[in-house]
Amino acid sequence: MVVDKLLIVLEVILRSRSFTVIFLGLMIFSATLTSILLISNYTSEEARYVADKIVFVPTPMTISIVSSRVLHNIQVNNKIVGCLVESKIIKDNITVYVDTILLNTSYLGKLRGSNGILLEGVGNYNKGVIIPLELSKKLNIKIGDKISIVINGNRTILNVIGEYKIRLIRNIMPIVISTFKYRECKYWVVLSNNTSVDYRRVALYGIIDTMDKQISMIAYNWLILLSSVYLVLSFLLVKRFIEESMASLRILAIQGLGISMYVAFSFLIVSIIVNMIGVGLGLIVVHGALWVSRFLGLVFPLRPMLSYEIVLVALIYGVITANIAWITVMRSIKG
Amino acid sequence: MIPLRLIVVLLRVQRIRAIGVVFVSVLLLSLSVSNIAMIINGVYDVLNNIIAPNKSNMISIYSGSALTPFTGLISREYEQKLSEINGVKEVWAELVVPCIAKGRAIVVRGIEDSFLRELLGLHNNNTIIYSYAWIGEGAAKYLGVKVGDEIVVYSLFNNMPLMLKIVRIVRLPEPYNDEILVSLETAQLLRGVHGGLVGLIKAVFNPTKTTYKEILMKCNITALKKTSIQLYILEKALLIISLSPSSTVTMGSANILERLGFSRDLLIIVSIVITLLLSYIVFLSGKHVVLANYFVFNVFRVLGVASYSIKMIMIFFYIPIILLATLLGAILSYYLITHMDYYIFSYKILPRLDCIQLILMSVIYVCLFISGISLERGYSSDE
Repeated sequence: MVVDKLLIVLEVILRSRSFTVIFLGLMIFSATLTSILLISNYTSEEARYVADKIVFVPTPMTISIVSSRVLHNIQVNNKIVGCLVESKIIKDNITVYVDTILLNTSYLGKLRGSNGILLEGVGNYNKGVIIPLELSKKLNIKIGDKISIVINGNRTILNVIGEYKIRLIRNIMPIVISTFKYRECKYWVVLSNNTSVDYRRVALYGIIDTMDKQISMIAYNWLILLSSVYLVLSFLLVKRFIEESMASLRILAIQGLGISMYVAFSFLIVSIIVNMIGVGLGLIVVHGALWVSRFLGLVFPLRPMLSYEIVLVALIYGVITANIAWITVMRSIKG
Repeated sequence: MIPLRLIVVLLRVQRIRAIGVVFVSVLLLSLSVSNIAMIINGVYDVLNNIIAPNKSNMISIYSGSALTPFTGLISREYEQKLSEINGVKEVWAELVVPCIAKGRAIVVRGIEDSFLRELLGLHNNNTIIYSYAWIGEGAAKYLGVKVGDEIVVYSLFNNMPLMLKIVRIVRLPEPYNDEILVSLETAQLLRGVHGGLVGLIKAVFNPTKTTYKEILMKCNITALKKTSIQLYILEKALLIISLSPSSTVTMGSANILERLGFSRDLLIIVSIVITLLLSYIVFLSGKHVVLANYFVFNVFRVLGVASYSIKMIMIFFYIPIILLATLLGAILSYYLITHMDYYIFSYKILPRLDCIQLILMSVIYVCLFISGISLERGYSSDE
């Protein structure tokens, strides 16, 4: 009995002249909304997919960071022979504080065997660096490893050619660089050892995440705004149908049908079906657009997938339309 | 000729609800469309501002082959050429590097010492320490940092994070206010380029002594753009690093990177399509007006008034309402965006709606409304 009544109201809706307008209006809206959500989701997925595929060329030095500032220059007989640099090394989230002495190569020879710094096992240091034993253990650097030192933007990759013990000052890290041209000791010194962490990837994912959050916030606010437009659209469409079919609806009401409930339920069915068709259409449009774009030389590596939120939005819109229909019919019948 | 009395009667019997429906439809539509337009405008303004703030008597030189403000590199020889031109008052180099600090994307801008001192009001005796960072108020709020904090900055271009100490938070002109400022050398280190390359060279000139065209000619620059940059999408702007000569990204992956942001273009196109399709609602509201007043229409028709005349009166009655709703929607949208705090990187998106866009929107709505009223014939007599 209930099904019969429902079918009668459904028939009235489907046979009405305004049904085409309702169908097109709701379908176009949900199709475009689906497209925007699909593309929004797709961009996030593709960004991550692409980021995963990027291969960064490994650099000899990859981990710990020493950001340094020059405390003061070291002068011998009014000639700058090096400088003392305050440095911070970060490794595995542990900050190691070291002071670094940068020494001119020519002056290093004079220091050999002196009381200040005892050099052990030092061979040819002209093309390499010498680091203190204590620090080499902390950073797990062995003789023969490659590290790079960046001075004023110019990267120099050097072999570790020797280690020596620090006798006088704890945590002093003398680095000897043969290519170092001394004028003023106002340089960045960067030192690190090999690790699996690539900070460029950290930066890449960080930027993608930030962008995703920022763009998603905009997209979701647009969705809310567009939903308010949908409210008015569905009201206009339902109102149009009711005004047009008022005669038929009144006849059904006189026959004792609880007309508003049936109209609302019928609209729920109709709008959900139409919205789902719109979702399908949106999916086809986006896939079609991506497929066509390959003829323009643009290949998209992934296929946009429907997510539960898109279907959920379509269902919510169906419920909204049904509610509007219910309220409008109630008011119209009373009128 | 339509009698004035008829017009008055017709307007007096207008249903408030019909007026309300038209007003709300146009208002909401204008709100949505303006929102989309203002945000897209704002995003491109941000991108323009990063390279060349719209200031008179200032010239910005950046790589003509670069697709993005973050990737172009030019030789510092232009700095020398510019400084030799009579009438050029000040020349300085800058380098912008997209980075991550405290888990959020931010731009670190390296500025040559001379201009950095001027910008920050530093005395010549103050040494610019390379590990020091000066941060704009906007960026400080965005990152949630204070003076004395130390932040680790991860660069997209160099596998070498740096620890920077924030020495001052300053209110600066845009775009510097939303960035971390460091010495040029530090930025070059983050960018992984040697000292001879920079991203931008800016110059301030005296318009009475030289002109923009003259500077271009003397510098032998042909592909210089004044303020605008090509319409490129946001992520492409951030992530194409293939053009960087020092980039350590492999070519294959660089090609993929170029594509990274393409789908954002689609998003913008879809937004435009949506706004056009949504305009259908104004057409429907036009039809609604006829249907809502159908009884009145029939009465007037029986009295011998042509339906064309009735519709004309209705159209002229509703046009001011549509224009008012459009304008109100745009204003509301402006305030909405201002209070929503939308960001691209650390740059706050400031809404902007061109007059042309507003006029175009109003004209389209009026035309659609007229079409809706004109094409609605009402119900057939048997209904």
